[in-house]
Amino acid sequence: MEFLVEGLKMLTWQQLVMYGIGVLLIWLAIKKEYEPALLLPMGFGAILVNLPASGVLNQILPGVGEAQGIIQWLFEIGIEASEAMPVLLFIGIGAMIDFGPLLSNPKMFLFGAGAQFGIFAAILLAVVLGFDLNDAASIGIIGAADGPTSILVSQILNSNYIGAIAVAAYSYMALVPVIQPFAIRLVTTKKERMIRMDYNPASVSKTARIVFPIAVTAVVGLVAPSSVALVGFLMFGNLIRECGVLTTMSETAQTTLANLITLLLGITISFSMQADKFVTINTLMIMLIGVFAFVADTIGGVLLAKFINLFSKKKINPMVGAAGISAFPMSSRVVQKMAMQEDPGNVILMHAAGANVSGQIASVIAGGLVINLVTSFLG
Amino acid sequence: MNNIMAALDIMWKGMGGIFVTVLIIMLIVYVMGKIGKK
Repeated sequence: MEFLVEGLKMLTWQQLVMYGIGVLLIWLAIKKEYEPALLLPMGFGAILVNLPASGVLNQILPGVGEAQGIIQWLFEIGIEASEAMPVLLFIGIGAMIDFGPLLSNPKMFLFGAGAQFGIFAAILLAVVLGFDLNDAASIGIIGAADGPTSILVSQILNSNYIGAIAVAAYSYMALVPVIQPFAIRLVTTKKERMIRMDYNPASVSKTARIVFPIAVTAVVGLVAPSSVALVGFLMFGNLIRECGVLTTMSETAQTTLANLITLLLGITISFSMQADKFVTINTLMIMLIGVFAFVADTIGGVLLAKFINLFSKKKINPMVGAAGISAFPMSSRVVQKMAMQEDPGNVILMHAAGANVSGQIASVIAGGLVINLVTSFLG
Repeated sequence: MNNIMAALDIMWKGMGGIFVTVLIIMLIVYVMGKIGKK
């Protein structure tokens, strides 16, 4: 009857820690509703992959040979081979985004750019802490505040820490309502947070809405070729939305496709949450660098707004700069809430929404540039 | 030290690249807006 306890005898303390982490992620997903679509599958997957000799991973069975495990297969096909899952998810994300607030107020593009500062600050910090350049860049991309971008970049750069990076990226996206207000208050005064902004949007023609995704794909693809998969599929989804003749397809992309891929992506990523790779001091450092990246993103966007205010007659509420991170729509709502707390009746949501969607584009540009620049150093 | 210099280089080139790309896109949006008004 010894075969019944063989699994128990193979259990390591690191695997027990991973069960705890899995349960924590599930709890955060259900009780706190932190990105449940990702954290719940990741949490459950973390338990699955850390059961001794788990059948969801490839195993060598005596007398039979190799038996393929489903989660390992999903990872090899869906992520390792061509980053298919995060890229396909971007079709759904692109179909969900309305670039109208940005197209009618293009100045907000600048804050999407400024709020990517945290990526590069985090790369620098990771390097100082001793990570190799490819791992540091993969960790830094947590600051893109975009799960698919983080997974894609860390996979292309062959990082050893995809699991920790994915957990950090999705967890901190859910924690934007905690992280951003703290960071914003560090670098702004109450008076600055009370600045009111007029909203006089330019009208946006249907032609502009259709030309925009095509133009962005071309421009970004020429500047950062490694980002073509991400930006191309993001803009493809948006084009499906805006063309006006593919309503059913747009709805499918926003709902069925996005949900299906999200469901599989979460559980697939758990492949990289195996205890021997995850329960290390480096994982803890990655979590800390990830927080730093989000804080630096926020500060970067806010400081850019304050810089622009030095030369601008019409003052910008610097909190709008913080909304330039890619965590859409969470960040713009956080900024609006803070504005109302300081000055009830101060509505800056549409400005913040413009900055927020520009962050989606800027984060993809950042991902592509990081891949290009890092590979040129490593080559 | 090499990696730190590389990270600093990546920082200025990365941020510069993002801003240049965003400015090009802003220009395209501005031109589209002008064409749309005509």
